[in-house]
Parts: sequence; C-alpha cells; structure tokens
Amino acid sequence: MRSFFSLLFSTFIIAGATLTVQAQKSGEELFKSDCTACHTIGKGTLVGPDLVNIGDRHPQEWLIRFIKSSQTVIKSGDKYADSLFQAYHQVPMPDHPNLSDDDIKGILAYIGTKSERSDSDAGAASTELPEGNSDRGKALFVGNIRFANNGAACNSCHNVDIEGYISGGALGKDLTHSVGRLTANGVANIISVLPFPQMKETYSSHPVTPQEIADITAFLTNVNKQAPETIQGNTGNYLLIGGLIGISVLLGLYSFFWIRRKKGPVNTGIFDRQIKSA
Amino acid sequence: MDVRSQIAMVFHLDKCIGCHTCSIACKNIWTDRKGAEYMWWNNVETKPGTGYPSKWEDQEIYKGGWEKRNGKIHLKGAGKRRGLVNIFYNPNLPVIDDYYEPFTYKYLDLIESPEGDDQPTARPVSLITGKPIDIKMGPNWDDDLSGTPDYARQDPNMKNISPEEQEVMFQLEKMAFFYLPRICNHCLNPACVASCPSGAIYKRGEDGIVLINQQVCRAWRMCVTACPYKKSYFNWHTGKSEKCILCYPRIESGLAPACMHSCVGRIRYLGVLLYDASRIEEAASADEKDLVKSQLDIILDPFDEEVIRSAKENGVADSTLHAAQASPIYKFVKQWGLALPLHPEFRTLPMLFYIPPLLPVMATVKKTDTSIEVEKKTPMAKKWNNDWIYDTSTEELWGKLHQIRFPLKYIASLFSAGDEEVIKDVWKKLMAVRIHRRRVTVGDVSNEKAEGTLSDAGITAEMADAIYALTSLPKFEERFVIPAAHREQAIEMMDFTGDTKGSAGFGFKSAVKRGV
Repeated sequence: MRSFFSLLFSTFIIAGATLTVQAQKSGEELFKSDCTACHTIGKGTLVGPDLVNIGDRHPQEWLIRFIKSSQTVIKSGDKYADSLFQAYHQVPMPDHPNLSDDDIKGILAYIGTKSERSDSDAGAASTELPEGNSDRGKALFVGNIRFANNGAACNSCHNVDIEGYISGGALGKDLTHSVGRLTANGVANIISVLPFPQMKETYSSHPVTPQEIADITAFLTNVNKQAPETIQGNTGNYLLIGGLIGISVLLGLYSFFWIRRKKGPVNTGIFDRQIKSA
Repeated sequence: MDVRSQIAMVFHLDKCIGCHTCSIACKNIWTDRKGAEYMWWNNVETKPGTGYPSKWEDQEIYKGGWEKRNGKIHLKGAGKRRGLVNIFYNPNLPVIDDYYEPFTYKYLDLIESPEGDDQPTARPVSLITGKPIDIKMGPNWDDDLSGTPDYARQDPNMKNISPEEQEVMFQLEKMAFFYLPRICNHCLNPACVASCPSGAIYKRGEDGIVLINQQVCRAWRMCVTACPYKKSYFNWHTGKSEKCILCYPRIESGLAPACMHSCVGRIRYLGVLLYDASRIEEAASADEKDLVKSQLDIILDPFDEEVIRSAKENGVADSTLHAAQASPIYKFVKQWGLALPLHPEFRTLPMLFYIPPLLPVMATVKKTDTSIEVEKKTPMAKKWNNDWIYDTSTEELWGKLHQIRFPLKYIASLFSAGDEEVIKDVWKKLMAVRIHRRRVTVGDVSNEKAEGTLSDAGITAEMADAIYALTSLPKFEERFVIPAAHREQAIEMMDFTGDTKGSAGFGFKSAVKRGV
C-alpha cells in the first residue's frame, strides 16, 4: 500500500512538473512550435487561414474551444466552424490537449501584438524558398538521392499515385493530392516546421535543407497536377452494397448448382411432431 | 488369375436374437471416445425399419455406392469429377440427426440434489454440446418395432411391395420382424476407397481389411457419402473419418473380432476366402440380376490345384491357404450356397454374407379394402375361400415357400437385388435341412417327404447334416478360422524394415515415447 501511494505521489510530481514546464513557455514559443506549420500572421493563407487580428473576429472563449479540439466544435453543430472546415479543404486542425487555457491566451496575446506590427515576421512561410526542381524532388521522394542530412526518404512512410512508381509506405498520409489540399506553401511549411510528432521524431535530428524542401514541393505540385482525380469522400457504402450484391449473387448460384442437395435430416417430419420440453 | 485372400464373414440371421451385445462390445473397445459417441461400427437393425442412419439404403438420398452408366461403373455421389466439384461442399452428407445426437444423463443430479418435495431426475444432456436436450432418437430407436408408420413403413425396401402385401407384413400384432446386424463389409470393390481424395483409405493386401489412415485423412468426407452402407463415420472432434477396423489387432493375434467373440446367438462366422482380383471390375459391372452370381463366381475353390499354385505365386502363405480350406465362409457361401451379400446392387462386392431368415410365422389375412379394423376384431379363424391373399396356416408343420410371412420380394430386395429365385433356392435348402433333421431327431416326418424336399433343394442328406452341425453346434474354432497374420511379411511389402531395425523394434515407424 505504501509503495502504491508513493507511486501515486511521484506520478503527480512528474505530471505537475510537466505542466509547469508547459506553462513556462511563452506565447511566442508556443505559436512557433505548434501553429506556424499551417498558419501565418498577416502573410496569407497556408493550410489554415491567416490569423491576423483573429482576436477581433472571434470571442476568446470560442477560440479556446476551437484550438483545443476543432472537430468537437464542428460536430457540435457550429455552422461557422463547419463552413471554415469546408473552406479549407476539410483538412482537420489537430487537437491540442496539451495546451492549457492560459497557454492559448498567451498565444492569442502574441497574435494580437504581432497583428499590430506591419513588418510581421511570424510564420515560417516568410522564409523564401529557392526555385525547386521537380525531377530532383522525385529522386529525393523515392530515395534515389540521399537527403543532405541523411533523413529518411519520403516514400518510407508516404505514397504518391504516379505512373511508373509502384508504391510508397502506408504509415503516413497519401501525398498525391497534398498540394491540392494544403497549397505548395503549406506543404513546404510542414516539411520545415515538422508539426507532426512522427515527422518531428524522424527529421528533427536530420533536418531537410531549404533546397530539398523546394524540390519536393515542386515534385508534389507536379504530381497533384498530373495525377487523376481520386474519388473524394466516403467510399465505404459502395463497398458494402457491392459486397452484399456479390454475396447474394454467389449464394444464388450456389443454391442453383446444388439445388438437389440433401436438405436437413431425413426424419424432420418425425422430429417436428415430437413434444419438446421447452 | 490374381489370387488374393480376404477375411470374410457370414451372419446367420435366423440365429440373431437382437440383443445388441455385439454393438456394446464394439462400442466399449473402439468408439467410446469424444467425437465417436454417435458411431456404431457395429449396429443391429430391426427389419422392416429405416435403420441407422435413417434410410441408409435409399441411395436417392445419400448417393452411396456405384452405379452402372454406359456399361461401366461409376461412383454415384463421389468420384473424380463429382468429387472435385463438391470437394468443399459435399451435398449428400448425412447430418447428425440422421444418425442421432448422442446423449448421456446427469446422473450426479440424482445424488447431489438438495432435499426437496420431488424426486430428483437425471436430465439428458447432449454429448456434443454438453447442454440439456430433448432426446429425438437413438441408434436403434425402432428396435423390436414392426409396422410403425414412422420407421418400419418407411423402409426403402418397401418400394416395390404392394400396399396389400405391406398390410400382410404388418398384421399379427405388428410383430413380424427380424434383426439385421451390420458392420463394415470390407468390400472387394469398396466405394469408400475409390472416393477418397487424399488416398487415406486402403484395403490391406494380406487380408483385405479396409482401413482409414488417420495420418493421411483430410476430412473431405467423400467416403461417408460413397459408402452405401454408411459405415464410414466422421469424427467431429479429431476431424478424421473412422470406420470398422474388423478388430485387426485382435485378428493379427488370432482372436475373433470383439463383436463376433461376444455374440450371444453365435450367429457370426469368420474365415478366409480366396478370390480372383483380376475379375473384380468385371464382377461389379455385371447386370443387376447377375450380380450375386458374378460376385460368387470370383470366389475361388481353395482346393483347386491351379488356385493354390497362383495363390502361392502371389505370396499367400500356406497357413492362409489351410485356413481358406477350413473356412466356414467358403462352406456357407460357395459349397452350400446359403449366404448372400447385403444389397449387391450397390456393386461394392461386400465380403459380409447373410443367411436370410426363414421367418416361418403362421397367419391368415384376407384381402380387404375397408373392413380391416372389423376383421381384426374377429378371432383369427380359418375360412377356406379364394379371397385369401395370404394364408400360412397349413396342415403340416412347414408350409410352402410362397406362404412364408415375409414376401419374397422384401427379402430379395435386401439380399439379391430383387431376384426372388435366388432367395427361393436358399430358403428351400434351409427348409430341407429342418425337415431332414426333424426326420432324424423326432421321426414324425416321412422318409419320402424328407428325401423329396432334399432333392428339391438340391442337397444331400450328408450336406444337410453338415449344414445343421455348423449352424447349430459349431465350436469356437469352427466358427472362426483365423489364419496367422504374417504381419511381418506384409510390412515388408510396403516398407524396408531395416530402417527401423535396432531403433524402436519392428513395426513402429516412429520412436516410442518413454517416461512420464
């Protein structure tokens, strides 16, 4: 019992320490680590909307709820949140359960101060990328050329649907239409900022150079143009209905071919007349 | 000539008392296991009746055995093409309710129930699911019942028998019936062997016993369909098919199979037959009316010099030849012509022969359309007029054959593919033996009549005495003439015994597991 309490106690200590560390981060740091992959302040739309003067457009309370879990707000029937979701290609904004209310207030405050300055430098998109080479981008994507800092080739986890290329990994998202969904700037931003935990783990010690980012983005832009439009949305119903039709066709065929099979025991008539106990 | 030896059997149906001792002996030794509870490698059926599994004789339901198409025989429900098409779904399989759902009773409830107002009862529970069930039927549910609408009147052998004749069969308190004990026939042309997609079933070269290799069986269950006698069973627990093994471990050590050893009525005989293996296909492809004759034709005379010579060329041991010469089966089947195969029309050439029952029950029945019930209430009095369709009340002890209670047609559909003449011949002989022995022991039959019936049946007085002796007074060694197995030579036909020499002894292919 004693060891249980000490375990519980130490758990609280560690959890508290983590929270404290979180709280100590300033709004600026949090914005740069958690938001800049998709958002800018006054530099235009990336994956998500430009956040300039966001505090003027929405009440703070709504923003806190949306940032913590955007999908919850959308599903609760908020019309405006849903229209935002539709307007930005149905790319869901990730949840941020690690951010406390105070953290979010700090971020919003930072956005507020930034919005006032015209020479804002927030958002990684401000880093101008060099001209990208699509062919080199493809070679980097499939791993024919090694990344300068020995990062893993994109196709270890991602797939693109192009001619003459068999298949990439299925761990990450299919990137065929990534530029269509997120814009070229958004994609480039994601590669440089690494907002996703798995990508952060993979590339933070092997950073991708700006030239490489530009090449890959150029390649993905090309892919987006060339690749055929895939069916967007839910195809599950087609599969279900097709499966049901297939099953009934097969069962029909079976019962036709084996129509003269022995059906049930020969004494069914006798058994049916017998008195059952229950 | 390709002479081989076969362990064959004769069951004398007039001697069977229907005690099921054989079934119990077999069950205790071989099928008292999980998954095998419903199997009765040996079972005793009441005829007329539907048997076990129900209506097994109706091959329109179960598609067992061979059928002749364009002069050649083919498996009815299995075989290469049909077997392949149906390999993942065999459409003619019997289900557990065709046999019966095996059950036991919760006997502990009788002892461990708390005190109450009522006597505790032992509920029946299924041996398959373990849950309480309503017992629907058993392996001999219609035992000793004749004339029941559900079983006796559903007998597939009734197909060609007119309603009046059926009525006759079921008169006299519905008590006319006989028993039909059945085991695997260890056929010469086994449909189960022919149907097995895995090649797991084989007929042993040295004694013709048909066995299923449990290592090779892949549970396709084609043998269950193919065997017209439904003597191959699927074990749902091990996922392998099993069948009667003719107690080969007992036979190899010179003992009679358990069912035969335990037989109370001593109806069972076992011995060696020599047959010509090169003529099996020809014999099985004969026309339906010639089937019995063609099957008996390929059984060879063990005293014939030519037969003995070619048997020795085939490696049949001298001891086996001596056993064949002393075989009670050869006497009953070939010398005396008394025993017939069961359902020869299945074309499997069964090696279990039956001496058909005589059933000399006396009765009179009048052909009536509407007054059957009225007639039943009147005393069974004899009225001499021409309306009688059935009358076995005779002035003498034994009547004429056509007066015998069971229509010839019924017995013929069981033992001679419908040929009544074959049955008539056998019955004449059986009757002649009885009349002859009556003359010898009681003396109230005239010599003239006895000689007349003997010559009519085509047997001599000495033959009749021999039949009587082997029927009524046989010693154990006369009923079972079992040759030495010569297993060691038989093994050498298949395997090189040097491989296992010095490791785990002869006869074992895998090392013996020792220790706890």
